[in-house]
Amino acid sequence: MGNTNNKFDVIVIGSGLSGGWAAKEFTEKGLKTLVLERGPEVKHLRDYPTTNMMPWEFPHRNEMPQAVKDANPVISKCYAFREDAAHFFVKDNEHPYTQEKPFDWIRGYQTGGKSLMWARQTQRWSPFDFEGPARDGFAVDWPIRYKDLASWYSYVEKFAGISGNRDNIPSLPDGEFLPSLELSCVENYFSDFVKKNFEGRHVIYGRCAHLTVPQKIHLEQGRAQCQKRNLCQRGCPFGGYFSSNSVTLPWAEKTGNLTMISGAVVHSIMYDEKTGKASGVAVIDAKTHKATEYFARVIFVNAAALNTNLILLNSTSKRFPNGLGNDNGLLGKYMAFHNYRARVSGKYDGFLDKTTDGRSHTSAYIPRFRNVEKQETDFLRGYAAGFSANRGIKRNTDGFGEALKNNLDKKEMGPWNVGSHMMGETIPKESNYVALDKNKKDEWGMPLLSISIDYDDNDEKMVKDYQEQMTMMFEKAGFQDITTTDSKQAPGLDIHEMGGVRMGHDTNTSMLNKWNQLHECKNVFVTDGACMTSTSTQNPSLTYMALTARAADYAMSEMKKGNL
Amino acid sequence: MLNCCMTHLKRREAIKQLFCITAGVALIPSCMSDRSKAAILLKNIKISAEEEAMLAALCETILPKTDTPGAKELSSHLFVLTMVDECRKKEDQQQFISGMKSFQDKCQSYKGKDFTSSTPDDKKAIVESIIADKDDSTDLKYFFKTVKGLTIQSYTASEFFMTKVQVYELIPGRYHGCVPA
Repeated sequence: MGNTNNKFDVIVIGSGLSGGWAAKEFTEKGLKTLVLERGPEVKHLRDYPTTNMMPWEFPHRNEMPQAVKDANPVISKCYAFREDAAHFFVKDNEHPYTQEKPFDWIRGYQTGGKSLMWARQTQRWSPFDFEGPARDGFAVDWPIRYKDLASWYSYVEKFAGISGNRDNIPSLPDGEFLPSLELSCVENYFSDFVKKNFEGRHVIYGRCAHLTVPQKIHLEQGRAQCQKRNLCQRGCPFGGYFSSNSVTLPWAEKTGNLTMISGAVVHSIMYDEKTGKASGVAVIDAKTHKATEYFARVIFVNAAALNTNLILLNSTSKRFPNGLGNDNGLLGKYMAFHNYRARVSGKYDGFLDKTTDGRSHTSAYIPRFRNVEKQETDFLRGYAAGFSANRGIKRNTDGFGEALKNNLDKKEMGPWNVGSHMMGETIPKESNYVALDKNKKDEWGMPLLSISIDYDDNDEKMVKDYQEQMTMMFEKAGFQDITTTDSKQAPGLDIHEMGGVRMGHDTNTSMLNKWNQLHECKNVFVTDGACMTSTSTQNPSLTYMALTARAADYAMSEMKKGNL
Repeated sequence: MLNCCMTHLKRREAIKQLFCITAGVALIPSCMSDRSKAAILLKNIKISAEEEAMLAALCETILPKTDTPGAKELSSHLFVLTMVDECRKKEDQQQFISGMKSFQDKCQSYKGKDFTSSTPDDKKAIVESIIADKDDSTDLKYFFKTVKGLTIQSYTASEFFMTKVQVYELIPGRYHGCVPA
């Protein structure tokens, strides 16, 4: 198991979605791999305390106590911070950070990180997405294209288990899919309507990381068919969705090549001037604050976008006084996120003789249709959107006494509720950055992260366009009582923050090369959200999996050649 | 002390784990020192044992026992108090208490009795008059709406309702998008 010399072939910082994947790739190929997780251990099945609880067993019926909300205003804004999963979310008062501008930083510090609580929506990037910056003149050119990642998407999709339909849409390539679920009557109705009336716009089944029909590989992983409980954020007794805890980490453990250390806060990556490479990682024990060093030939930084930036910024040396690999001063800059501000909702009075049965763990998805083939609007890029149509029992609360009792027991169906939310691409800018707080440190002696990220004019125009377009589509489809909202929420609640260690061709204008290696320190790789040169509109986790598998493969070929 | 606890718990047998020692809510039997304090440990609001009894009676008037359990059996008033005490902001708690005082005054001015010792008909009349009041902005209205809403939730989110009336499936195992309603 452990190497008493603290020497490993590979160190992976972070056991979340991308870190777990790195661990799987390296251990599978026989490399002794250390995974450092700053949070406590969460072992699949054993450490899911709420997973089988019934609604009435929660003291506040899943509402959070006011005292917790008051002490933790940031995390309390997160939709999933409820009694059943709050224990998996970082509390702001325990892990403070500096908001130079308002930013809601949502984190999960435990084995598996946010792969426990994520929404499991997965889409491939397309050629249009990788070509975006070059065509539209923002950020820098991606050093890779879709064709470089396509086979890796297939590779990770098969292992993870992705459910979807073959929709044949150029801006959203199909993948290796398990069967899809049905969509609801009205989701199908809207899909057909949009197909007939709006050229180039599609409403499709929301592709997701669920085992609708497990394959041999998934049974080998010890997983079973998703049972559509929709309680994924608690951890799943069936392993029905993808998480590090249920998929990649147990697989890595089986090889005998994995060492997992929990409660290990990475302070910095150590740089050896003689070799021109990173030598290892300095760790502070989360509880005892004792310092330990670990050494490896290759280091994968998968601490989640902002924490990866923090670690690299804190990895200073004579050679790199501004952070590891940061000759050009761009580390922490060109941050971006997804614009989740707007929603459109309504009702539909069709299909009143129909309803849904059971539960679905996904809904419908509208791929970006703005500015795909060419620039068409007064804003750059565009937005994807979710779409869902559901109906439930209309709760009749009229009156009191016996009359109220009788009303509550009624099973009258309410109307179909339709809703959509936007997922807009944001343009990375130098003025959106993260940096080390100059004064404040946390209890492990690391500087707090200072975050300065904001919306711009492009985002405002995009919100307006989304609201107009969706409202128009809803109206034409015959939906009623249409309302639009703009939450004006701070960046961060999208939980898709990216950038700071961007990939690019040029060492002057980027941090990573086309293999996710730091240009200036070739044995350090970054494959989580920090590496993203642009954000596009897709839910990014699938792309992190593919980039990680590809970079790990490259790292191993370099190690074989003796280059690393 | 232990014997008191056992008697107290046996009386609440039907509610089972509804208010077990979780999330800071403890059942403290009224046989303990201060008879004038409420039977559950509240952190933020203060009510007396009499006020707790009044609340229990009000909840039962709102949601009585029929052929399905009522508020008394479900200890709905304890759920109301827990939610107000732990899941509401300070200003909402203050409005609740103020509204509760208004409610007590209203009962006294109706027939000079408190709610608990009023007849079932009088209880109904008092509730009806609150509902009939067109002014929605009073503390009394807030108090009543809060009690009614949380009483309803204590019923619809109860084990009984979710296993016998509208069955909640922990493991649906299926999804059909378009079936007859």
